[in-house]
Order: sequence, then C-alpha cells, then structure tokens
Amino acid sequence: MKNKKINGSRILLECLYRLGIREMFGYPGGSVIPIYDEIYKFGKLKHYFSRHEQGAAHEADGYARASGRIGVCIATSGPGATNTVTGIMTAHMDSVPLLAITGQVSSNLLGKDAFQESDIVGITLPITKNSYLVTDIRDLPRVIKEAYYIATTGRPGPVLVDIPKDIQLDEIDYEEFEILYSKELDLPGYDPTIKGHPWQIKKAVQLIKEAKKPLIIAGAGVLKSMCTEDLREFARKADIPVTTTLLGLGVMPSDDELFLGMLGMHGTVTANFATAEADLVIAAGIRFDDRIAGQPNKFCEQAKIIHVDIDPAEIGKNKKVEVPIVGDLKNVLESFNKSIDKLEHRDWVEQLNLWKKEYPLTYENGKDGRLMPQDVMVGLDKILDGNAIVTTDVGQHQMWVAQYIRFNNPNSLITSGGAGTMGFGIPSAIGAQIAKPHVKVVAIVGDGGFQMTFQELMMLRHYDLPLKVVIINNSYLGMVRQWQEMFNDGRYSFVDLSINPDFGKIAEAYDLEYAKIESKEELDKKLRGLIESDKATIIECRVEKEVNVLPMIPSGSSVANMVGKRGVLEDA
Amino acid sequence: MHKSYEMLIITKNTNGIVARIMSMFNRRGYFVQKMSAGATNIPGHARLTLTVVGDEDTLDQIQKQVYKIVDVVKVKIFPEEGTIRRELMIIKVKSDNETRAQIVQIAEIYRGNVLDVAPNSLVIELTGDTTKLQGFIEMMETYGILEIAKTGVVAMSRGEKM
Repeated sequence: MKNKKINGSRILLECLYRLGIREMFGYPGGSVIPIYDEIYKFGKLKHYFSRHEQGAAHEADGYARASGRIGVCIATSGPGATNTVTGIMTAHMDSVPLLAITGQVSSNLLGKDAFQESDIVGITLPITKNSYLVTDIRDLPRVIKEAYYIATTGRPGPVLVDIPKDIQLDEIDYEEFEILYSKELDLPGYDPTIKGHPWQIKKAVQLIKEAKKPLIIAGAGVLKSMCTEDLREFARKADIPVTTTLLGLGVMPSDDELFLGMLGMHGTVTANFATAEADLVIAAGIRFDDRIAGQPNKFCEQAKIIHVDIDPAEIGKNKKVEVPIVGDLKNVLESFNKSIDKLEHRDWVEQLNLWKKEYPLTYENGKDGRLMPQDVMVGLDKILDGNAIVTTDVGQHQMWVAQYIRFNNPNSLITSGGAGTMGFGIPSAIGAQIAKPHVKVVAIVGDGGFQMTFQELMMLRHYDLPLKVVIINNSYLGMVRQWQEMFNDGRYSFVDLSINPDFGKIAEAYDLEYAKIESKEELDKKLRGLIESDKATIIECRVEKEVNVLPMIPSGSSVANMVGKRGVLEDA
Repeated sequence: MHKSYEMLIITKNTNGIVARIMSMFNRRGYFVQKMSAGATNIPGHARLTLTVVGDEDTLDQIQKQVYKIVDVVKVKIFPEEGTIRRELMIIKVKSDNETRAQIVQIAEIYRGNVLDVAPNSLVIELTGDTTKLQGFIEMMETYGILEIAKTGVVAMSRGEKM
C-alpha cells in the first residue's frame, strides 16, 4: 500500500490548526495558490478575505489585541508581502503577537528577480521578532511551531514565515510529518525570564513600603501579561494611584478614585503633575518612550523608579532606574501582593484629587451650537459606558478618545501607539469584531486616515459585521495642523483636506448605513440610535475645524513646559 | 567614556544571521569597528567577535539587544585583562635591492613571515594584537605600503572559562 502523503501547504494548515488557530486573514496571489487550494479543501480554518494585504495585517493585529490570541495573516510574494510591512511594523512597535505568512517564488527562481519576487525576510528584518525563509519542507513543521511559540511568549511580537511555492507543493509521508511535528523545540538562545529576581523584588517591596508619594505607571505590558486584576489588587491594597500610557488604558477602571487618566504629551494635568511630584514610581510594562518621557532626565525627577518588564533590553534603554526587575508582570505583581499588607497614602491621594478638581479635562463649547470633536467623544462615552471596544487611527481624534472615553476593561482600546499608523482604525476594528462577535466595536477615525484603508469596509458587508465607523471630519490632518499652528507660525503646509470625498457616497457604494452629524443638537438626538443599531454604519461627524488637543507637553520637554492646562492655549 | 570593546557572540548559524545582527546595529546607531566571523567547535553554530565602540550604558544596551535576537545563544564582553586578542594582517610593501633586507629584518623582529618576494615588493604576514600590527604598519610606512588586508580581532579568555 502506498504511504499517505502530505504537501507543504497542508502541513502549514495542519500545524496552525493544531496550535489552536481557527481564523485567519489574507489575500491570495500567484505564489500562495497551493496554500489557498488547501484552505479550500481543509475546511477547518476560517479565512477572512481582506481587500488589501495591509488590511489583512491590521485585521490580524486587531484580532490579536481584542482576543489575546495570536493573529494570522497571509499574503502572496512581492507586492502582496510588501503591503503587509506597515501592518507588521505596527504590531512590532506595540508588541502584538502576529504570524505573517508570505508566499515566495519557487526556490529555483530565488535571487533571479523573478516575477513578484521580493526579499521580504530582508525587508522585515528590523520589524519582526524573528523570521524564516523555509528552504526544505522538512523544516516546515518546526518553523511553524517555533514561529507561534516565539510570537506569543516573552515580549510578544510579529514573526514572518516566507514559504516558496515549490515547498508548498512538495510532499512528504504523513508519518514523517507526524515525527517532525512531535519534535521538541530547540531554542537555546530564547528563554524569556518569567520569575522576577527575589532580591530585586525584596528591594522593590522595601521601597514601596517606605514611599510617601508612590505612583504606578501601567502600560501595555499589563495587558500582555493578562494581569489586570493583579495590578488592580496591588494598587488598592497599597493605596497607590495609577496612571497609564495610551496602550495601558483599560488596565484601571476609569472611574476608580486611584485612576489619574493617561499621562504623557496629551495626558491629564494630574497624571503629569503626579510624575513630577512622586517619590516612587512603579513602572509596570512600559518603555519610557518619548511621548511619555519627552525629556528622560527630567521625567519623574524626584522619584526612585522600579521598572518591571519582561524584556531585559527595555531596562535602562530610555531611562535609568533604581530597581530593575526582569520578569512577567503577573508573577512579579503576585509577589508584591503577597509581601504587602494594607498601606495608606491618603494625603497623597487627596492632593491628587485636588488637582483632578482644579484641572479636569475640559474644552471650549462650540460657537453657535457647532459640534466640537470632544463633544462626539463625550457623547460616545455616555453611550458606550466603558464597555465597548474602540479602535482608532492616529492623531487628534486618537488623543481625544484617550482623554474622553472611559475604558473599564483590558484590551478595549485598540490603537496604534508606537507606530502611529494612519488607517489602522477600520481594519483593526474588523479584526476585533471577528474576535469578539458579541461586543460593540466602534472604529473612530479621522477623515485623513479613513481614506487610507477604507477598501476594507467591503468586509462589513461580506461578513455581516455590525461595526460602527465614526469619522471625525475636521477637513484637516488635524494633528499636523496643530503642530504647524503651534510651532510653525500657522503655516499650514499640505494639511487642508477641504477637498474630501463624499463619505455618504462611499457608504452607499459599500452598501452601508450612513448618517451625518453636524451640530451638537444633532449629536444628542441621533448618536445613541446610530451606535445602538445592529447595522454596519458610517457616522460622519462634521466638527469644528481648528481645535487643538490640550493639555500638551511639547515634544522633547518636560511637565514644566505643559501648555493648555485649562483646555485653552494661554497667550504666549 | 567611549572605549572600544571586544564582544563575543555565539549564534546558531541560520540563514542571514549576520545580516540580522548588523541590521540591529545599524538601526540602533551602534558602531562596529571590526568584525570576524567563523565556525566554532559546536556544529551549526557561528562565533562572531565584534569590536564595538561606546560608553558603558550603550554597551549594556548592545549586549541586551543582541541577545534578544532569537538565534543568538551567548553574548559577552571580553574583560580588558585575561583576554587573548589577535588580528591577522597581510601587508604588501614596496621594496628594492637596497631595502629588501632591512624590511625582512624588521619583519623578523615582529615575528612576521615573508609570503612573497617580487622585484619591487614584499608580502608579509603578521599576527598580533592591534598595537603590534599598528607598530609594524608605522615601520613600513617609510618604505611605502601598497596594500593591507586585515581580519577583525578574534579573542578568547585565558583559562578554562568561556
């Protein structure tokens, strides 16, 4: 009897399935036809048909962030693969577990500048956690297992696997595949530290007990480590106020007395004052990036810093700290919680409460009932009540989302933090909606970013996704305009988007519901119905054009240079 | 303070690993002065010795960033003391009947080997640490250097420890 054979494409799918993957995003092309043929025959993996490979990558990213599982996207060689680059880079900057599978021209054509050949492994070297060009079908089971393991463990990140077409078609005996698949991984250079060093933890606990004005700065690491509850327990037990980075929003319920809002360039006054005033900072899963610590030496100047991160390379990269702890936050926080009984910092919390009262987030009302962008956020916040998933693009609307919408659950804000990718909002929302079909998902995007990836809207119709897309249309590239106003004497260079498409017609073309909101009154009247509807809808909000995001700590400076503390720019 | 250090990297010898390491150096603005790479006694592994320049903080970062590369198995900085460092140089010097004997004599002092003699040139092979090679180069400058080929530094700790 002839032995049962399995080809490379089937090996790929079989491995993905065994690793627990059930859904993936992709776009076919010449060099992945064998894989798509097997997807057709295999039947156990649901493949979502994106309309652009960048969309596929962002969808997988949004899926991963919403679900906490790996996101998988697939693209063909050459332009298909290069189209995923922005998506891979976005996932890399925000440490999202993403598996990008690309087809490659056949091995015999590699290096010959063949049709649709590109060195995607070379192109993505700096933006992947690891990458593979598979040159032997017998490596494939190991590579897929390794890729999955590396992407999802330690500090998560994107891994790319490039598979030449002949490897996809090549066959081995099924029995051999089973033997290859069952082999243990051999990664001697990859062993993420999970347990924090006991001596460092002891030192940290001592500092926490001695501190008078401690502050927790929580970041995306808390979400990756899935230890939101541990962090909340720690904060409450030790009575320590919490501020978060943009990507950390949701770690602490927004209404909690101990929560100060987001910190950084457009953070709350209280959160930023707290960093200047604190005598101890517990930096939990953050990387002191330049939007948080514009001037690293002036950041948390009076504080000793305990920095907990799973990536040793983050320790001391941007900011020198007193107590570094390399380890999984969950593990470290559990140790903190075990070693600390109830602490109290009431005076400190009271002081922060006073600042909260004195410097609430605020903005001027629109003249003559005109709609302010912040009105939209406040309106949405009332309706969503902290329980939806919100995705954004990058820019002003992103900051207003972070400021005015409450997030009570982890992984409920999906936004491109490190990369700052325009066009991320719509595809990531599609991914999130697929991962969480029963949760309300709202993509809030600018009129600029919308135009970068709106082809993905076709998926709403294709897969019946009840997504809401809110366009904050100020007919400007708002954030760049704001910088040009503040730092370039108002020379508005190529930020004017008054020539925009008719968003209503786009909605019509994609067979989606559409509504336009142009005044505060209309917002109050219409928004709830639109958001609560179960139909995919584009909601265009025509807002006041030249509004600034405030407060603001200008790039490269410290909290002392914060402007707009009361919601308006002071005269210089 | 900026100094140069020898960094040892042991890595799985996978496709493009040197490109991966160099890409990280370029991306983060770290400066590699010299590099030597080759096989080791462990099958499937490569050993790289890089001469890198930076202060202690930068050096600390470089080590962590290199170790983050999945295939890299070991990273260390060789201490100033207790380390053997060697470079190999092949140097082509102008020579004629008058100077040939002098050059050969100097090469002997430096324990160099003459590899090739031609009517107007000599090729000499020399091994040693950076200062020794530099000293020899300076001596040869008076005769006229035609070509120099140098490896990077290879280094090893004294004693049993790696």
